[in-house]
Amino acid sequence: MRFRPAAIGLVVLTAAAAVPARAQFSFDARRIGMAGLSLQRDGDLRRYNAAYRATPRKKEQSRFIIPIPLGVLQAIKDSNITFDTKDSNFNPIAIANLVLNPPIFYQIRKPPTPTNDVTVTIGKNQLIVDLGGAKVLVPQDRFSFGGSSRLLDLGFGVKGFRLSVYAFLVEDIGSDLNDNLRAFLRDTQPAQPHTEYDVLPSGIVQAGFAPSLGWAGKVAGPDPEHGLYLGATVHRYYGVAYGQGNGTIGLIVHDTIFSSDSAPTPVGSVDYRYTNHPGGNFGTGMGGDVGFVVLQGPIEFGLGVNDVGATITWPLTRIERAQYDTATNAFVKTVVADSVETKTKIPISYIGNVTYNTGNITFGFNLVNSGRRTMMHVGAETRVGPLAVRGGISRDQRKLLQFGLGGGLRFGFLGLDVGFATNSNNLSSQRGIVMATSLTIY
Amino acid sequence: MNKTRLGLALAAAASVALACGQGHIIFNVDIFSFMSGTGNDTITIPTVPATLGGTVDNPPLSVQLPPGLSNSVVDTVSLAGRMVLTNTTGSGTVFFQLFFAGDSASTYSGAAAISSDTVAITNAGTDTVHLNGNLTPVLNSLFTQSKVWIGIRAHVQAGATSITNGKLRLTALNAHVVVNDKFF
Repeated sequence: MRFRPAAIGLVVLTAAAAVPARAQFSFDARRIGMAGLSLQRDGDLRRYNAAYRATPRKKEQSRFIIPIPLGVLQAIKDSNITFDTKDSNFNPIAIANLVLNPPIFYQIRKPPTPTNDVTVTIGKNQLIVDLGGAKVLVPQDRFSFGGSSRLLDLGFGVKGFRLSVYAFLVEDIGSDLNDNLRAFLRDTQPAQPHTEYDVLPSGIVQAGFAPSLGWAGKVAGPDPEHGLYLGATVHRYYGVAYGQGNGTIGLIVHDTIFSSDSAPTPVGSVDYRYTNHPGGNFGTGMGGDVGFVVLQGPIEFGLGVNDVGATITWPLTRIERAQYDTATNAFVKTVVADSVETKTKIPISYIGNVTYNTGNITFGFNLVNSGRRTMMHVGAETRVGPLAVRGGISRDQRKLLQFGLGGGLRFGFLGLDVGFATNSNNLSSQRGIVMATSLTIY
Repeated sequence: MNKTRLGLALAAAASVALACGQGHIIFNVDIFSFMSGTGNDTITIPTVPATLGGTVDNPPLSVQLPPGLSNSVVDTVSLAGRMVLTNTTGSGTVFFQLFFAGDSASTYSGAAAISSDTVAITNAGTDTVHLNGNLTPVLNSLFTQSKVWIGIRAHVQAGATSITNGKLRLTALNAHVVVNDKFF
């Protein structure tokens, strides 16, 4: 199999679309049924709010979740996806959608796959591309993927204190199109003489580890379910590797679009900087997490903020520039500066949440920002005996509304839950519907 | 015609067109726009004595095609063209044929790919000859290669009057190529 630039572009689009998928991913059918909201004191709440480490465990809080991957059976039974490029059914977009929607959940409605014809009109001074229904694949603004992740968090605690170390990965990799190129691809506008068509790549990746010391505890209140909880953690960041770049790559069309004496000429200049010796000279910095939770009977609310003031100083970085040279018809690399100090920031991430319990119904709301864009979740759950019914609405990282509905049965320590949710984890941004099933051990 | 630039254009377009997923990619190529003004768009016909006939070929012309189509299947290739014959004197008939091949040397060695209508020649006048039709499927595979050679052959049959100062000038030639998109 041979790979071509278009395939690479498709991979980038896939990765871009995967961001909201990853950000909202959970095996818990209860969360799926509330469009991603968690009403319990786990998951995102513990990840982003240091105070939740001290709050008492709720009786509905799970010990662990066992997913029931009905989607695997569906994929085996129904899939007509072929990886054989010579098969007439081979469709790279269908494969991309499979990556974005791994067959864990049963797909009630699969995301649509553009299968339209594409028309390309070419003349000496004419170039028009009509992507048809596939125009939706051309991003309307900067498409990117990334976030601020903590990959491992190993530690131990005594009397509210916790000493730990975790690995961090912060990335924001993306690209944009200039207005001319976007209009050419999305609006079927003819290529114009004396016009520049550009791709604008940009990105940053930094990774390392952070020894941390934290404390969480109850500072006021008469009993565990009534009180103020605080949490704070100090991090010492050790950056192992770092790279960052941005620039412009494109073509300038001259008098005649396809002519030997005025042929389109490449243009481009990309500046990038990176650690000279990854792992050899650590970047260093300090930062911290803070959070509080208020439990007041039926009302619970909290706010957690991560990586406050987190700036990493990289002592030895090299700055280079790759610029298109018309004389050699190639990109030429030059070193702008070597062994210079560079400072980077780890983006602040946060969660704010409110839950309210009245009778058998619990309402919840949260805002989560994992370092890039904010997601909002609103939902509710009602329990009548062993039966639970749930619903929710979320606004994902693409600012699209998603909906969830679900229910479950609980018998003692064991629960069986099912959740339905819409998602736009596909290249076309149109909604699919999944059904998640899981066993909950309480 | 700038063959390289046409090839680049097609390559760029083909890359973009991957986005269509399982569908067809349709290339509408104005071949004439690349030939116009280069001299390759005109066939000069030597004097054809009365009642005699003959053929005149233009030099084969290569057209770059999009790279990466070797796994693709060309569904159909249809052509529409027009040539205009002018002469000082003469009568008879004229038509032209297009030839396609994978290399220059064999461009005219096989059968013609497609022929135009046959048109009566007007003495000292202007006559328009039209061509429309699909290529036979056996030639479709040529369009999955990186380059195809095109030849134009003029057939002239003089009537009772010799044909003098004949020129057959291409005024339109468009290709409509439908490709099943297997770009990997």
